[in-house]
Amino acid sequence: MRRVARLLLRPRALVGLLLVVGLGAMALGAPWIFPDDPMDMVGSPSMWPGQEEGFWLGTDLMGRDIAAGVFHGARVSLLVGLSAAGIALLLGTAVGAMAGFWGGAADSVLMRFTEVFQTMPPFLFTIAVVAVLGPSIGNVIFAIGITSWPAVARLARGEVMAVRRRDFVDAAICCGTPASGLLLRHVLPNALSPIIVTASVLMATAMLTEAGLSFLGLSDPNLVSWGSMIGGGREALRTHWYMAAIPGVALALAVLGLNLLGDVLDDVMDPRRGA
Amino acid sequence: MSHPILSRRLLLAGMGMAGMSVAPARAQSTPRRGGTLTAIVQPEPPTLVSALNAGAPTGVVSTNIFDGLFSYDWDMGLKPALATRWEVATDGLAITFHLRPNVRWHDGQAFTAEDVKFSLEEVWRKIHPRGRATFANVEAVETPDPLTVVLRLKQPSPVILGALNAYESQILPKHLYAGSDALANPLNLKPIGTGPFRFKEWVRGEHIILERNPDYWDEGKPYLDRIVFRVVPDATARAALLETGQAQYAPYSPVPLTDVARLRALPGIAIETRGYEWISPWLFLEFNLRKPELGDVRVRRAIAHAINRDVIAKTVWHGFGKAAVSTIPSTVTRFHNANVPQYPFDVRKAEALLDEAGHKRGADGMRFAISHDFLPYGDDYRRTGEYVRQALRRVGIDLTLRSQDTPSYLRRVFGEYEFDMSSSWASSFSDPQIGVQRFYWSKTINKGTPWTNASGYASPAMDQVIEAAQRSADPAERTRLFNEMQRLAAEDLPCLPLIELNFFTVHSKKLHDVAMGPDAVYASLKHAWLEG
Amino acid sequence: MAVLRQAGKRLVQAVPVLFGVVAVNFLLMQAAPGDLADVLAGEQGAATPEMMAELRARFGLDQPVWVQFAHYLGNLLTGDFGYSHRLGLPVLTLILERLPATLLLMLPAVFLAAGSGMVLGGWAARRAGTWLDGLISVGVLIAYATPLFWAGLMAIVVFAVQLQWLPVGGMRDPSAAYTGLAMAGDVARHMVLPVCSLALFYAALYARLMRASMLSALQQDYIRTARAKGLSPFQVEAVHAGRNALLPVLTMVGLQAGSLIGGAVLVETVFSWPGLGRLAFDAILRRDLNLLLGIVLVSSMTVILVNFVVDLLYGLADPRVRAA
Repeated sequence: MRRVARLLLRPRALVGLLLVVGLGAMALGAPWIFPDDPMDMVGSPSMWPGQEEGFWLGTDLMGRDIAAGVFHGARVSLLVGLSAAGIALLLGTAVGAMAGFWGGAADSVLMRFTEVFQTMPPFLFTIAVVAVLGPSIGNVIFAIGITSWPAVARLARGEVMAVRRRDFVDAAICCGTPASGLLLRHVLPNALSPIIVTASVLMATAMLTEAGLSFLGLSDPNLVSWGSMIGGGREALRTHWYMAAIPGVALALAVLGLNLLGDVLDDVMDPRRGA
Repeated sequence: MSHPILSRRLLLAGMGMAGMSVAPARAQSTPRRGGTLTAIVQPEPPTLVSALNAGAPTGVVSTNIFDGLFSYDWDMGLKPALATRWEVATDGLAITFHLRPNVRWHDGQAFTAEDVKFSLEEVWRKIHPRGRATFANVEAVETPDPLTVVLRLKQPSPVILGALNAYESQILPKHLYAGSDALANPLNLKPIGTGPFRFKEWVRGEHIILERNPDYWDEGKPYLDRIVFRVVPDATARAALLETGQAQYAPYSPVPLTDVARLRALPGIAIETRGYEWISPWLFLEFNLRKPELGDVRVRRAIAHAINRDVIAKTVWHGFGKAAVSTIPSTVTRFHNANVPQYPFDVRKAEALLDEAGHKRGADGMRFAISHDFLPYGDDYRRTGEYVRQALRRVGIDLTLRSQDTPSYLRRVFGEYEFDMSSSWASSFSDPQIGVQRFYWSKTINKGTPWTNASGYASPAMDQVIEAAQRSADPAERTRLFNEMQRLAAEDLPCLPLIELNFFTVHSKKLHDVAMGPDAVYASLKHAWLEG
Repeated sequence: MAVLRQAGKRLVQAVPVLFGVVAVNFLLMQAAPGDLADVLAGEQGAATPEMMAELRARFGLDQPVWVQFAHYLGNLLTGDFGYSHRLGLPVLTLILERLPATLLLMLPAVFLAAGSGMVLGGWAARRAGTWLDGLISVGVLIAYATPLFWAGLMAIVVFAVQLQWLPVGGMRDPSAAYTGLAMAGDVARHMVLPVCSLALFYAALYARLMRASMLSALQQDYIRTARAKGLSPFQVEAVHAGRNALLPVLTMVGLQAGSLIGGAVLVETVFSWPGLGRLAFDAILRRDLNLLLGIVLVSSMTVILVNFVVDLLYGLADPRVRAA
């Protein structure tokens, strides 16, 4: 425990934790702090931060409150990050674990399947899925999730294979534990730590991808996300740079926090690191 | 140095769209020969022949390479091009064109009446999306001599005279297209025309280069030696190119509307809104009358009252639009009718109409839920949708925006009629029979065909007026009929005109004589010249 | 011999993967609402029912899906990538036209990113825990967390508009007919901003990876042995540990080969770069099925090839892999 506390108290870890907790707080607090629909035009358009009372981060091209957008956008961006990472983790771990556990022909088939998705240009594939299904928030999440699982699958397969070779698994097999139970109860938990570390990076990447999709005009028009704010603000880049910069900084800080958190998790879960 | 020009522009801006009926004053200095113009075309055209692809980017490039029989003057009158004059028979059943002698194609062959006959019979009438309707009444094309073409008509078709420029009815060389599959002809990518510029090279994804045609029939023109059309997909990059002088001409609203004020303030840059009058674009909502709520005209009128068209024009479109009062835009002066039922912004009236239609507010404050598929052509259309969403939610209509790419939008709205309310923009063109009637005529309810009557609006009264206008050869009678059509359209409201769009061209102040006619965006740059 | 056998095995494995790629994308585009006829009618702003029917018949879109698929596969087996009906050219021609631009953008970006990423990451690991490590790590994270298109647009504003050192976009100056060295110089000037913007993101990725794997390499027994033998710190860290730390980075380069072709959509958009990514993006939005399938196929083949090369390099970098 002392080791964990020491790891958590390092400045990098503290900053990471603070950023992620802040992100969560913004997402949870948004409906109380800004109870109105952030899509509503409430002020004069294109007000600089502080220029008009009540809009401390200014307003966008349509006169919407940027502060409200940033808070509500945190919800959507976090939702995109969490759900897309969740889909990728579930799918990737399932495919990878089965491949690594069973080996042989099953491994071969599953890995070819993974390669099909891995050899396609990931961002293009995401665009194609969103274009086909339509850019609603659910479809964006699905598209990002469905294109980012192969890396997880490879990782999970490797970890499961390594764990499977260890003695305690052989012991469990001797005791007659059924394969599925063995996989779920003994092999996966032991292989999970690097996968969890990947999760935070996956989340960060998903949020960045969502911003990229918005830039290309593929975002849900009924919701405010940081990506759609940056995408919408890019038109005013030369005259009102803050419209893209404010959500951009928010996104960068969130991604930074998630990556730092990933580092911390990595350190905590690797018993060799303690310094 | 360019002060006189600047003040003229300010003057015209002050007069608003009245500028269109005023012939622009002669440029102060004499045109200078020479120079390379770097222009921007967006997006990249798929092919370079407008007769075979009526898309806007193709039109912008193609009309420099090809000619039409005529071009248009500021009063939408015909200006000679490949034809020098025309006559319409008194019964309206024949139109004769007298062609310009000694015109040569870029490959040296002579241009003759056979080229016109071929283009009309094999291309405009068989391939062009509007040409099929425009020339539908042409029974025979006669060529009594190489410089005369006579169209024999089944019934009078004055609409033809509004569609004769290089974009809408482009003349193709018969000797290179006859007997081939026109759409697959390799020349579509390296065209040979009669126009002021010759095709030089096309590096896909980068640029298209045209060079001056020294044998052009209009003596002394063009002034420019070369035009380089660059392909620049991002709007901010386009603004940067224009700002740094790396490009000097960009039509079709090339930069973000928010950036225009900044660019306009720069010393070397001019914003030109003339040259789009011939296409007269308008933005409108189309209601799906098959849906129970929207089939009720009271609901449609309520929606019209709930939307403040001035906000759309001023805030969403940054002034590059004008609140629409009728379905035929005011820029189509000959046919526009402002004296039709109006639906001024009035929330209370909207609410009353909705109550009257039996849609009371529910527990959540909403009356009913519909979706809105906005035109996926960029942020301005999306923001228009966002404004409409807010405006309708205010009167208790729970509006969900649906975003999708263009083919999905077209399929959903025109292919499956699976929409409640869509937004579209369309060109009116100088004759409503080409641009506007397709959204109101019951015979254009063609499932699966984009840009036709998707609302399902079918009114015998409307059909009668539209069909009478098609048959009439009398200009005054047609104006009266189209005025009546606008009144019916405003009363029944299957489409709600939002704004008349003002597209604009950004160009360097060193480039002169850019907008020389109402169809300038689709006319060649043969008058344009660069200061030394 | 072993290499040849390995290559043969890879080739056999690649066939079902490529088939899967074609099938997935074909079905995806079939599921997409709207087709090329809708797109062409949409672009032209007008249409008639006859025109729609003619276009569909011309493109073979009126055939059953399985017939279209079989037809495509049959052509593919004879090396025919099909025809882009919208652009009026064979798909292979279109791809080959764009390939040089794509390689010109991606290869320097990947090398620059891998080089600077490894140096920065390795350096940070050797000074782990110091302020230098902190500085590099935070800098790297910020580079990673900045949306690529935003960085690109900002670079245009600063370097092309304000300072006017570099061109706004494109791959060359079309109004100047350069040849030879002057042309190379012109292209190089146009490459600076897009290559650097793209490299920024990947450099951050590689630096993070390099730092982590270098840290764990430095804890290995053989490093202690090497130190005990009295080798200089530089030899120990850069040569012994560094070589082993390279492996995960190499793997990552291989994994990201998927982004190599067609992955730079955003950078190509911002900098008007005439690459394959933008072509593929347009192909998706315009339902140009043959063109999209062609690009995806070429991309997949590149990935398979790059990974094969990475495996070979792996063997060179780590003798244990070669033995196994």
